[in-house]
Amino acid sequence: MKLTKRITAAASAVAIASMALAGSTAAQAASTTTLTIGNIIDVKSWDPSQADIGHLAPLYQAAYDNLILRTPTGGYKANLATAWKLNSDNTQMTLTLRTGVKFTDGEIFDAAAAKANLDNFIKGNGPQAGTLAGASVSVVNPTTITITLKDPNPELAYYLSTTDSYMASPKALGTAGLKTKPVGSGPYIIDPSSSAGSLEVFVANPNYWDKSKIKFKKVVFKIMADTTARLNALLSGQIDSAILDTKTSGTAKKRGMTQYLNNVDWQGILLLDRAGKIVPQLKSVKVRQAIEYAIDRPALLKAMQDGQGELTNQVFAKTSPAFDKKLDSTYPHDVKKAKQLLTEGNASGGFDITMPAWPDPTMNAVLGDQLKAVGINVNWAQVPAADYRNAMKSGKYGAGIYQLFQGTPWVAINQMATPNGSWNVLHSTDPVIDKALNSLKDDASAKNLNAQAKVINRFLTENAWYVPFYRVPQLYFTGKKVKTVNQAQNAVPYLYNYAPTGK
Amino acid sequence: MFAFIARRLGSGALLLLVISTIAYFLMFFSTSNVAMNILGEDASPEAIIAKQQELGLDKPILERFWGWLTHAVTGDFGTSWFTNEEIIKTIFNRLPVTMTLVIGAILIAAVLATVLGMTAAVKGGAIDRLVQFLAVAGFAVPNFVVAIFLVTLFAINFALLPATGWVPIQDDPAQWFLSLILPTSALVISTVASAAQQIRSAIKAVLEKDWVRTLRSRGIPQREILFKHVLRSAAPSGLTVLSLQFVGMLGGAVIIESIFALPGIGQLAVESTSKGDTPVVMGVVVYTVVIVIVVNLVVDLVNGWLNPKVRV
Repeated sequence: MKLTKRITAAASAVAIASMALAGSTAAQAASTTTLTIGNIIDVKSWDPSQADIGHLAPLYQAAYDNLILRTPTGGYKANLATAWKLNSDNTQMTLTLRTGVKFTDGEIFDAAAAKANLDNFIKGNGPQAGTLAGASVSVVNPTTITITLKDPNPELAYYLSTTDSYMASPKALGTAGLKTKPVGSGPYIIDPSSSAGSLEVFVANPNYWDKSKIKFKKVVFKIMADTTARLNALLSGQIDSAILDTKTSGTAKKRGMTQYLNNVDWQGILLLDRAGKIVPQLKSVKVRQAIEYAIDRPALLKAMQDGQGELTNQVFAKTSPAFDKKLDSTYPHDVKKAKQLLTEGNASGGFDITMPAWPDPTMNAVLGDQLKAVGINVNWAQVPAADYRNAMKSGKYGAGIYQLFQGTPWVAINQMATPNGSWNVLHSTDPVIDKALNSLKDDASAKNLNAQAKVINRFLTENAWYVPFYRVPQLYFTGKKVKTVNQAQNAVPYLYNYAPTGK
Repeated sequence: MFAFIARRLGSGALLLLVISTIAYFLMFFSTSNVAMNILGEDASPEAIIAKQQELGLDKPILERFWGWLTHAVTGDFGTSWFTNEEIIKTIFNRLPVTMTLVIGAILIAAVLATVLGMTAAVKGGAIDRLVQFLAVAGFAVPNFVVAIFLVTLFAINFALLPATGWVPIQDDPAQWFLSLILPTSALVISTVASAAQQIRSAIKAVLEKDWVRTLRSRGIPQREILFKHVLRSAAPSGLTVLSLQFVGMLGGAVIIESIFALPGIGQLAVESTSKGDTPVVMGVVVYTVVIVIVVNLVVDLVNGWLNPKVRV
């Protein structure tokens, strides 16, 4: 046989074999008994003390139960705790625990196990450890614990329904093995075929105490950092759900995928230097307001998010009790007004400001031009994308662009308004904020919390501490075999929100 | 021969030390506040300080480097700062993915480039021009464009092949094979392009040698001249370009790994570098340099076997 014929024959054989094997690809696609989620990141550690919110929540929820369950709309339901009560000054919560629950290694869930887990979280120095800093836990009886807080927290139930109360087997706590293999009481058990960083496979827990939460025999998380990979996997049926972006959502919609729009974050400028120590002009509220008026938000939304998302002037979410519709029209694009305010703020003709360059250069170009139009010249300091957050928190910059989570009122206040708020980097204070915070110290009831959050929201908007452009659309998609429901204040749906469509 | 191998291994060890040192210090100077990257934006200053102490980031850089080096020479690369997984385990989970992809691509590219290069050199004329055009076209189109085209066509429109993912061979050999077709093809196309050009030029140069004319005048069949003599003489330059392509692919595979969501060493390197996970980056650097040294040594040995003059 001639060489060319041999090569042709070999190539044909390979092609035929490939086609034959390819027939089984469809069988490999996600089925209704398996939920396959294309997740952008994997957990860093399965030790519950290292848990975090957002894209990591569904992973931890597969292996672990929370004490309290958060509903998709943001309400609370019994889970491992069947009842809970916060005292009048919001410093102590008493929880009644479910009986008859076992961890997958056979250990019993009781008050001692709950205490061991909460102590592990408090001491674990994880990303959310600060939310229970200084707290202590005591066992009242085998089915009751009390959490005593250092500072009042009217939204303790929120934290206990997210990162702070994933319950692991007390036997596994503190062991090295727990970092790489979860041992919980959750609806699913990790499968040995999992591979950290690329694939997490869970099978249904046969002894789970609440069968209604197990809607799939198997849950697979495929870790896919690349948006194109997630799109391709979703379109070809390899995964059932994934978060996409404005560039890829059009293709997914055209191909019949179901979109779930959730506006969890806002994007804008954090005017951090309200005392004017780094950029003296920013001390003037008139100058900060001038920046608000200088921003052409619709143009930015078009350039950055393909027009998808919601324009806003306030940092609290539309679903938040602090939301005030009127505030969203506080700062229409008005160059003349911006220049006038600059003059009134003793910055006539504009000024120079240095901000870290946002990783997407389009943002810097569009925003830079808009500010230049009123005389504000932005010097973009180049920082590596991975170090952007650190640069923003370094205290070197008077302002910078950022995308922030729109949490519950308490979370948002602690993020942006309190003197040591995680994004009040230069520790700004103001009598109005102080008064609202003092009021919360005296009365942190839900009613007063919502009232004070409204006061703070109005203050932050009118005094231009932040310059929100728009609420960023989180574009989540599912394929034909699975449906889900958006989760309040989380970038992706919780694991419990998924169900088969029956198709 | 043993002296040759010993010399190459000695220089390789020195190279490994130099590159590791540079990489360690580059990581030090290019990464800020790893503790905050680990703990997240809401971490308190106290928590960040505690994490820095836990990771030993409060120690002087020379002390940290010495600590890493003394452990590394014993094969202990430590654990990831972010995932707590042993570096060795992480690398050995990921290395087979990248190596299967790259070795598969280089073998296919070697065969195709040889066939194309030889055909173009021997036949000349329109076929030569066509091969050259295809080679330039293949070189000009980035492999990620090829990858997206292949996925759209074969995975999404025709649903013949998986769009993403990696299946270990021990789990399912058939799915393993299928999962490799598209990413390997995307890598092969640009590799064939440049290798075919080099092999064509090398064969053409050999064909013009006087000794080839002598062989022809003796009536030795064309096929024997081509496969027994010309190909052997032209092989070193082909091998050299393929070895360079192999090394380039080790780094370049990251884009293909990303598009096909393959858990390879390239993705690991990029993720770890952007996060500042120094122990993982150093593990990847060491293993990659070792692979490059071994590949170069093998190519030198094969070249020496084909052409004894290079052993001198």
